[in-house]
Amino acid sequence: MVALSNLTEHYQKLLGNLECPSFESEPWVNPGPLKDRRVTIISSGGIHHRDEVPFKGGDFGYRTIPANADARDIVMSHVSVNFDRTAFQQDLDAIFPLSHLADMAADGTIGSVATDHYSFMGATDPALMEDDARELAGRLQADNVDTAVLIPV
Amino acid sequence: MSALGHYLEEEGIATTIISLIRVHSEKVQAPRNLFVPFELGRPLGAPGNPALQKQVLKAALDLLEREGGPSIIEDYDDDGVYQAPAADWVNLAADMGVDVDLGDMDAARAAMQAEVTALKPLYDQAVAETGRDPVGVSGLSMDQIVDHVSAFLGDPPDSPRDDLSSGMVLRYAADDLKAYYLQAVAAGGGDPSSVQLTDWFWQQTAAAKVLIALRARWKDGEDKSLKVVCGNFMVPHMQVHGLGL
Repeated sequence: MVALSNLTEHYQKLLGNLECPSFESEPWVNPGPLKDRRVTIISSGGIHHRDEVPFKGGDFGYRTIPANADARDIVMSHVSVNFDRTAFQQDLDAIFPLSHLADMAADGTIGSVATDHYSFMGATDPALMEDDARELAGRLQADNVDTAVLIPV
Repeated sequence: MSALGHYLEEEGIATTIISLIRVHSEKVQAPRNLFVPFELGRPLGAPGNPALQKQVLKAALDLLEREGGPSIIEDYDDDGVYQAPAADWVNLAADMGVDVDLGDMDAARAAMQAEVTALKPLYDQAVAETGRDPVGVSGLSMDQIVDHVSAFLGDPPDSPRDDLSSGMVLRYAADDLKAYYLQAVAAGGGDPSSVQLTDWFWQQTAAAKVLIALRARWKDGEDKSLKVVCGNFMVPHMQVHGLGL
């Protein structure tokens, strides 16, 4: 079974034919063993604390979600209605696995969990996210984060 | 996600990506990609299944210790059973849908309000069971949400918020309305599939019938904001197709 099988043929084609950016560079960073890494989660789910400004169409910015955020207060304002939201509604770890990352830090799988985690909103031109992504990299480095797990919806 | 991975990697941050659309990973060639065979919206497999979620996360993290760049695309091996309908799921909201007269705005508002009131104990139960309270994007109460959404069956109402247009509030209010119903119907557990939950909402509730009516009313209109909100962001493509809209 593949992820797109529960979409109409039209929508599968639409997603499959979506224009994607191409890059000349081939960056590859290896900061060392996983057990020493400091890790953040970055979602494209358009999620944020309920008191934050919701995402709008074409919004290429990101929202910050602290590692100690209460899952109860995380809401979703992604512009697309064409993916399942019930998993997110029932279980934040199903799309944003903060508690699993904490467990992995506790058992030594990774070194530590970043102070903050982040969400962009997919369905936005990736090229428009570039400046914010590079600015975010600086914030990550200031927190000694060397690794990001990127999770779509 | 793949482009974000590229930008971050260029800035010195190692990245690993869980991919739901393999062809996008193939096109962008970000450094590390774990393709998972789950439905959109379920990148770690399924809600309430921490063992599976951890397994997927660990598989993505394990790519960070692999050599073989500039781009690895790994397939996560899974049979997708988590997407199957649960035969023994009991829908506690099964009889709570209310008939609605879409030609009468006051009656439509009353039907939605009756549903929202009836579903409240189930919503509260689901919040207690899951620790998740997913309503809250619009900043409106459920009563205000019902009022604002149903008002669009007539002429567009004034915005109830100073900082957002009436159409933008409609989008967020519709999101909150769906979140409320879909969280309420999940009360009691039983691992229903996303299709079981959403089919109940779209086929059996007055709220869904109102949203479908708003789509029909505004998607081809001259108001550009409402055209986009109601045409694109109100009813999922699968339901448009399935219901023959």
